[in-house]
Amino acid sequence: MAETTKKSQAPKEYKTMAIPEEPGDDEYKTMAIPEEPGDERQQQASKKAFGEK
Amino acid sequence: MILLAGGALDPHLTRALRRAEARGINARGLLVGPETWPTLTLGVPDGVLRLDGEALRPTALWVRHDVFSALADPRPAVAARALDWYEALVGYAALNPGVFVLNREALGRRVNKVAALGLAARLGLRVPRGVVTNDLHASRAREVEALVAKPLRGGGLCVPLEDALAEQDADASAAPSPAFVQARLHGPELRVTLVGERAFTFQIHAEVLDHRATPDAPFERVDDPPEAVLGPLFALASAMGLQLCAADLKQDDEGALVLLEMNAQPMYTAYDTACDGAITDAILDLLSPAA
Repeated sequence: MAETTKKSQAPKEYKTMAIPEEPGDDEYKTMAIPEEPGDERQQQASKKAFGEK
Repeated sequence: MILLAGGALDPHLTRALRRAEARGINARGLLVGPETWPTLTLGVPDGVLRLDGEALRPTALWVRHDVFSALADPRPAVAARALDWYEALVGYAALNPGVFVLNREALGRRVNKVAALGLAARLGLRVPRGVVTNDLHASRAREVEALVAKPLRGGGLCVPLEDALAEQDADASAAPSPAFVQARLHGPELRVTLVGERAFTFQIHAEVLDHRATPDAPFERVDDPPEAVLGPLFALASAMGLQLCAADLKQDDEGALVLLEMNAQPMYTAYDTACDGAITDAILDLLSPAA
């Protein structure tokens, strides 16, 4: 077992999947307006599972 | 020569190019930036690729659909440009069957998460028990504390069912979109990145239901899952045509590992850093076996 490692604070270290991990997913994301990956995660956090009218 | 293609802002590609140079691997980047891009001509149907006027004959290709440019610039044209370059490279792969292409069989195909879970179950993996539904009336009548809701498409967060229901009109019986309603699973979450026949497993300790909501959640490298799980994960990757992918797993009430999803274009640079670049090296080993 490796020693516990805190995620790097470097801006381009990605360990999460809140950015699309499937080719093609991005086609449907042009309405999301993030400026940084962190903002993108917030955008995703506010996305409604059951959609919106 | 191996060709690495995608967005200039994609750190997975740029670190691979740096590592290739350090290892003496002849690698060429086809990187599309926010303001600059190369000149490409692809012969159809001969498949001859010219990049900045030079005919390229790579032995291997790794192409990633660029999602980073659109994160930095929200204009629809930017996302469309990324997709156009991806389509061109997928076309190159199709016209050159003799070139080793990472995830070749999966290029240009979107993964349907419902289908992928069905395939995983047939291969012996546990998957979350649940339904796909927009039936708010039936969902409200269920034991909401034990259930979660999750969008059908990639990128969305998994949330408690009661939170998802609270977002909808109280008097509505049917939601605008169907979503997964699944049994709630337990952490810590395992992230298993598969590269060829190698696995890199990390455990993520998050306080929240979906660790993506807390990007700074600590993680550590752990032993790979037992063969009873790892074997079917490799089988699933193979069935989906993936040499590079990443599986997310949690535990059910019985303590068994359950596959949440398999990601076809994984983000892994933080994990790669934590294992001294071993994931990038494994990818380069696949692309350039003689290196």
